[in-house]
Amino acid sequence: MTKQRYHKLDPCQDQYSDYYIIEPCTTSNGMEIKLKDLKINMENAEAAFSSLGTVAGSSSVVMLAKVGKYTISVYASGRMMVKEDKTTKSKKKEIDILAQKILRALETHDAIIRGKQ
Amino acid sequence: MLHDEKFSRNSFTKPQQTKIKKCTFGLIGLGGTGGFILENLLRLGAGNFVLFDHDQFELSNFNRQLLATDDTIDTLKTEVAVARANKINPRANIKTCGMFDKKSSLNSIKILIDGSDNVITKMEAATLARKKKIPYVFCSANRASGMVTIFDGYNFNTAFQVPSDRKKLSDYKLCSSIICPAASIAASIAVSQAINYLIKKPYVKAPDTLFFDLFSKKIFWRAKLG
Repeated sequence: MTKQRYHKLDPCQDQYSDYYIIEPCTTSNGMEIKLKDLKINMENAEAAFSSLGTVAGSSSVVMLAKVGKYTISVYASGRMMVKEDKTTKSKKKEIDILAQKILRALETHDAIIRGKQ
Repeated sequence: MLHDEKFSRNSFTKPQQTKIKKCTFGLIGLGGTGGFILENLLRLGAGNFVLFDHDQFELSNFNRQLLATDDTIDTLKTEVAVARANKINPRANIKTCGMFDKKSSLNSIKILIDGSDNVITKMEAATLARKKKIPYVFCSANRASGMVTIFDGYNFNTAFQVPSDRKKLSDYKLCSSIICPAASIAASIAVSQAINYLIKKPYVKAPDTLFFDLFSKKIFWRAKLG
């Protein structure tokens, strides 16, 4: 199998942080917060996101939440797709602040699963 | 026997069907158009694939991507594609790769079909295919429209007059929204043209291009690029 190549990460990204911020797809204006070797316990994440905003719907692998102006799809694998609206391109700095807020909430609610699984 | 019976209703001669079965198709992207391209090729009896995609299925894929289901959400697209292929043709030989870029290997690929959604990938794929002297099937869908052609020697940059500045290129958005019929039609035409190329039937060759717009009065038309 050929070695998998993924998105090029921003080189200035803090190597000690628990996440990356990437522009996932040319079809969307969204940004992705990708947790490094961390997964999300979806049950506990619901409480975490409820503390930050509202949870619009959830299943065992995905949850849709609204935090401030952002709509966030949260995936059990540790990905979070963040979108403002169809036309606005989110600013990386703002997403970084949002990511820190989410991480804190996930940790508080014991929704982080550590280690590769 | 079972395998042959599965594809016996394809309207090909035996040598043509064998050619399709033996050909190695490179497929970039397994999303809107890519998923349908793979499905079409599998149903036509293709047996060898190299699949390029690094992404996982997500909620916003459901409106148009064949392989996006509640069971496959948050799973690698290549993984899902292999599982799908095995259900149709377990004998299919599939190599999966991550993201396609200019360093990707096209060794063993006889026809490269592009179901990606951005200009940079398309340009790099076309350039690499030209260098390797293999046909590059351009396939693109946007909203309710799309276009398909085969680059077989013709220069991609001449055809699309793309700026050489890579930074400017990354601002190009091919598709903000796409409806499923557009993705599936673009994919079906792309596969039919690839097969025509392979079995030496007439195909749309760049700069000639086949366009369609499902919302317009005249749905299909041909025009020259460049």
